Amino acid sequence: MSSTDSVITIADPYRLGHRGPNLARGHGGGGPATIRVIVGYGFWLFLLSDIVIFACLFATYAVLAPNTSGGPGARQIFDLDRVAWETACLLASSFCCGLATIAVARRNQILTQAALLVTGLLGLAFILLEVSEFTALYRQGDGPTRSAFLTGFFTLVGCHGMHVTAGLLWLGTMMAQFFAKGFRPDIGRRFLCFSMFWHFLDVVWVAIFSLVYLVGTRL
Amino acid sequence: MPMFSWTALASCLLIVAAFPVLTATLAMLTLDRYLGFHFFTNTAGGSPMMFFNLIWAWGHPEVYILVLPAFGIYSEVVSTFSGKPLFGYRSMVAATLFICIVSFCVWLHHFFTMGAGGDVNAVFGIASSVIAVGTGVKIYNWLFTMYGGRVRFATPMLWAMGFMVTFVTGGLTGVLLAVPPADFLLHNSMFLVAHFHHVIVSGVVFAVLAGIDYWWPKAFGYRLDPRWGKAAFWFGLVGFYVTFMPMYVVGILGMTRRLQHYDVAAWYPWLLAAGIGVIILAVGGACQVIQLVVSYRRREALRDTTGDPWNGRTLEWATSSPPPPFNFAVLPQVKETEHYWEVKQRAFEQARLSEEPDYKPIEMPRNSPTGFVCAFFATLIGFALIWHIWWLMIVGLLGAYATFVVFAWRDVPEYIIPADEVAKLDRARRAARQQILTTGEVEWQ
Repeated sequence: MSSTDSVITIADPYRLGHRGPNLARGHGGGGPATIRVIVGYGFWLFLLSDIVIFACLFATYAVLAPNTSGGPGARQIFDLDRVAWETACLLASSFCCGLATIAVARRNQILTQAALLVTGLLGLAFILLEVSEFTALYRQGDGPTRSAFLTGFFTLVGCHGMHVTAGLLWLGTMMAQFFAKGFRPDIGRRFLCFSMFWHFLDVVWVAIFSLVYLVGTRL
Repeated sequence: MPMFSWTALASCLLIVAAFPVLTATLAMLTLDRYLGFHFFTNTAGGSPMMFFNLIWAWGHPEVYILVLPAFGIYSEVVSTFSGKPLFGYRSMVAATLFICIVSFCVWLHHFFTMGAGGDVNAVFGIASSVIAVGTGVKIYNWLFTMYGGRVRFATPMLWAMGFMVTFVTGGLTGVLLAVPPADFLLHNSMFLVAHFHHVIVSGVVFAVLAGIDYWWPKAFGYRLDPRWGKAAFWFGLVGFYVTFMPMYVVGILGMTRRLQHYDVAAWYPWLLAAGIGVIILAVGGACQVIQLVVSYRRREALRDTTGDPWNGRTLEWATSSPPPPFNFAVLPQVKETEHYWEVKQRAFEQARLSEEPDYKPIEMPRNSPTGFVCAFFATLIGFALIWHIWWLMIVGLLGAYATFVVFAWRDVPEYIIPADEVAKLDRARRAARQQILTTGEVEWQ
């Protein structure tokens, strides 16, 4: 490990991205930030752009929510018990993702794999609950084509669900990479991005839980 | 930071904030059309006007995504060919970021006639007028940069000057359209068509052509032929006016856009003039293409040996033309706004270059075709969706994902340029610079 570090130091005279974490203060002094900071910052920008997509979906849902067009409204179709279980699964999954971050920092392969596996299983449970909600609605004729309200609902919540599904694919890849390549710095940076993504999905879910389900059943 | 970097930064901020809106809107439209959803439909509670709100919430920032980098190009060109630092650097940065923010507050002016009501229209009308202030600041800065300077009329500078005159008048018709009562008369008329071509062509197209001429030697190592470039400019400028000015007139005469045919005799002379203008524009376009061919053939005569063909002021002109893959052998320590200009003047005063640095190996990211291959598969997905070829869509999806996973599995993301090679390339650059200093006189193009 130390030998590769010294090679990198020689190959990178300006230490672009190979500086210690304490030198760059973000005020021009200390030179360019570390690669870890740059990668994390870039992923924050991606998350911000993703938030804009969700913002559009939230806005259209808010506009379309009263337009039930003779179909069911939020009160009739939302089952808060199921939603509570979904929320519990997703938040617990994020907690396990945090445990995985600690395991990665300690370079512990078994703990890392175990924590990531539980993270993924809880995420999968969330997805299965959501699929059961969607199929039940669809079977009783209240699919997304029924009314503008259901269109907005299925798209907003479904978009979050698709993100979780994509996150599960990513999670599997991360586990495989840790297993096959070990705790390399570049794999660690990818895991940093993954954990940001996974926590970000929680934040979006909290907004969906509050603005769609809670507000919907109180109206 | 050079002004082009500032405008590129502002443009990228807008891209990150605005393009997800387009992504979401297109996704909704696709769901409507392919799966029978009700976002924008007239039935089941959908809202067609929501489509216009969403598409222009992206679409108006988009015109500033186009024009802000163009403003950066003009700033570099005007400063270089006037032989002066850019006037009002800080106000230029402020105006750029002001435009960046306000561009998100004006989208409704694309449909004042929707019926949102007088109050809403007033807010967006005022915002649309206010955004012109930022552009006005920039125009004055460019004018004052030229004032008192030793202006060289090279091709990029001609485009920049043509832009200044043309863009101001085009902007004024925009301020007119930003007034809701006037817009009710002019909405969807040829006046509008004339307006946005007026600003986009003079703002963006002129800038792209100026930028190509200005940075071509940096990118490819030889200048573009100035005679064909100037011919392209004059045909382009005259052709532009002959084409688009008559459209204002027919717009006021009542012609709407997107007509398949018309039978109003009064419009005929103006449309004929516009047609002649198109021919002049086409000649200008041909000159532009001929310029590329002629320049490529005469590339030895037009060779840029120094790396600084225009007596430039910003750091890219410190490199050789074309630059080495690592750009700078030693990371420049920038202390002043025009770092390269100061270094150059010091070298001329002392009649010698700065000390040769201690060369070290440089780490470079490896090239990868991943982006190109993914884009190819994404194109397949789009094509398959349009023609409902579902198997091809699945092939595209799997192909794009597989390419991405293969890329993610890579082990060596970087390669190293050895110190010897860095030294060899940089010494060649220094030798070219040294020649300027020893021979004394330089003929800046």
